[in-house]
Amino acid sequence: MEARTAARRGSAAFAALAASAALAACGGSDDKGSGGAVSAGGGDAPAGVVEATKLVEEGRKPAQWKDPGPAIENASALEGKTFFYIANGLELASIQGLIKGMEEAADALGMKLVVTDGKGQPAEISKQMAQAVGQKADIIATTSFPAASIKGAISGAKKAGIPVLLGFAGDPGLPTAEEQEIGTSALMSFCYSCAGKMMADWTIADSNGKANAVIFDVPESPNTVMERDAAVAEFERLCPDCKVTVKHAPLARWSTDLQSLTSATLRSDPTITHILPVWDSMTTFIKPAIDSLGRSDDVKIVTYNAEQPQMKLLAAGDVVAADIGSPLNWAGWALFDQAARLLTGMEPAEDENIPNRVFDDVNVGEIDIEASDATWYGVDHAAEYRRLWGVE
Amino acid sequence: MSDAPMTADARAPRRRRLDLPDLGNRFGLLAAWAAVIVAFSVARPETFATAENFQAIFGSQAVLLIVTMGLLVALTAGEFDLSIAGVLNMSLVLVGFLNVEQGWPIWLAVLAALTAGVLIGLFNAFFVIVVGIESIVVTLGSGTLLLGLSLGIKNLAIPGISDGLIDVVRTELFGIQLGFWYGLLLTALVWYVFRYTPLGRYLFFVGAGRDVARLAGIRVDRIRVGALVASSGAAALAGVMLAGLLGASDPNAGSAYLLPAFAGAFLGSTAITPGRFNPWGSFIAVYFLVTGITGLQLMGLSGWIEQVFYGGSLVLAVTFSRLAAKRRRVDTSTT
Repeated sequence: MEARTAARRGSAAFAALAASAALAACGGSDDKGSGGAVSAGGGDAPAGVVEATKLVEEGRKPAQWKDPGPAIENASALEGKTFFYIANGLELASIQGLIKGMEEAADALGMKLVVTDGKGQPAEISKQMAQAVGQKADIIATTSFPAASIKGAISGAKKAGIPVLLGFAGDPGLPTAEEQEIGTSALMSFCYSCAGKMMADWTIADSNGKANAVIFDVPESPNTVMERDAAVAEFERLCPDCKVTVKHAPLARWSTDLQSLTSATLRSDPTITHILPVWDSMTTFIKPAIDSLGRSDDVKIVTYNAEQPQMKLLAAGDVVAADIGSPLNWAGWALFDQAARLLTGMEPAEDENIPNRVFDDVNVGEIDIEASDATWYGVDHAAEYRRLWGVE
Repeated sequence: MSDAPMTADARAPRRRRLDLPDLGNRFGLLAAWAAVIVAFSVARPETFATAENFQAIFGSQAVLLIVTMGLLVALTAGEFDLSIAGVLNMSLVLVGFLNVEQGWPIWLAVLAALTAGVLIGLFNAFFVIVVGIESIVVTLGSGTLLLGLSLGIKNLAIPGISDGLIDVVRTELFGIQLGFWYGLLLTALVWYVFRYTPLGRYLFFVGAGRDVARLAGIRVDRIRVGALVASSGAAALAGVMLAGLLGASDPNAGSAYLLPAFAGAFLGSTAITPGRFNPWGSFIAVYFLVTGITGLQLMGLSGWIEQVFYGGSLVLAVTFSRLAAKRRRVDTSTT
């Protein structure tokens, strides 16, 4: 999961890319005040709430599989090939979940998986890529770094004719012309803007269109900026009566500042109903502020990543009311699907169709929080990929 | 022999006049803190200038205060302890891991965390004093090692720490969380030791000049070991406090405390007893910095502006204090 992969130790790496995002995001609170017009709707609930409720109901359901592309013709050609993955911090639980999926997929295809740690630093990633090229890897992947920030590293691989896969570097899609120019062959990602949209939908439905929501973003992480912007847009679209504010929480300051920021925010506005942290790991620092002010019954946390600690709080009905998840194990398989396409001369998939699922008190009982997230989404993605690849 | 007649002034003892530059030097930081309070109270009277706000401000820095006090002891003895964040982190993770995942009673988990702190202090001391490596190097290494180890123990947050600890830290006394009062107590204790006990003197002498102190008969090595153990012990205590404050452990929470602790120690050394690390100066420094940030947060600001304010006020405060000290020297040298 995206929990801390993007910026844990590599915030400097985003300097160029994030500068524009940060400058746009920084400075003060973006106060989207409540609009005057109430959306006209038939029946009791405004139209926006009705639509949001429907979207949430859809979002709660187990996912549907959708083939990301045509079947792989000769997967046997992949046997023995090496997939070199440069992780963004091997100790992160999210990366470990991802790698587990990758190992299973590698096994299914008879490929070799090599994992090294890029430690969230472009310099280290460059070094590892050079290693990968030297070891004549067949395909290289790295996660959480957009092409522009590791340009030099990727061009080295391009020169050697090795395809490069970028994971979690923005919403799903095909690489842009510039990304291809740099040497990116394919992307794989979760839909961050979809997650942001769902956070807003859940809040709108839960508050019946009257939410006073505060979004906490991580300004140096472009993925969360995408998430936040999508949430804000969704509020504007479906909930003119909602009040939405944005607060910035740089990763390095979470443990020293986030508690007091939450406390100050809640004290400035006693009518806040929902807090929307873009990564659920922020809950550790936000929840104590809510509890200390005695607001645990009025303020709900709606968030993204579905990491175990927060899912446990959700299951216990403790402040976390909704947590959207993206399946890490599935993402590991998806990386190999892209690899399989590239290495057998096919076009990369535009979208691996990895679903998000919103968990709340309605459906959290359906899953086993202690088990791997491979079991949470209602799809046996391993079996589906095997079928698509034509392997056992 | 001078033929110049002796003036009445030269003969008579100098009358005491209000030494403004000295006062400015010693209490400038306090004045700066007051100025920030006034400024934000005017800007946001309904939210900033309230008892609730100040209670929240005081309660929020308990962890930092405790770790800074321990650091002060080390710095006074001339040792740079860069491992405090690692110790804090390890202590926090140990409490969470032992209490929640291993089911240990909370007091035992706390004891284990505090013992770990003392042991790490001894570990540092061994390499600094017995092996003879500079403390800044040893503690840089041990601190990094500890941050890594704590991630190794558990790489996710662990919520659900026993209410026992949460109550001990979060219960309010006069509206402020108990954690603050523990920090205040520790500040007073450190002040008392520095000011009124021989140990405090020895710490200072060891920090001022190890060889001279040794020649004067002070047991320098013991003092240094004690200083490093005190520093790690306080950091471990701060980790336990944080566990109670959060009601959870988090393997990434500790590293953010390293620089603010040094900021508090160094900024504090510009006040009360300028030029010397001192607990009340650091107390004022820590709260001065957080008061400003809280004011900004209440005005709706967050993100990069907080860091700019924090760093900027640190630089300005130290600069003004240094200027005040220079002026004082200039004044006295012309009389």
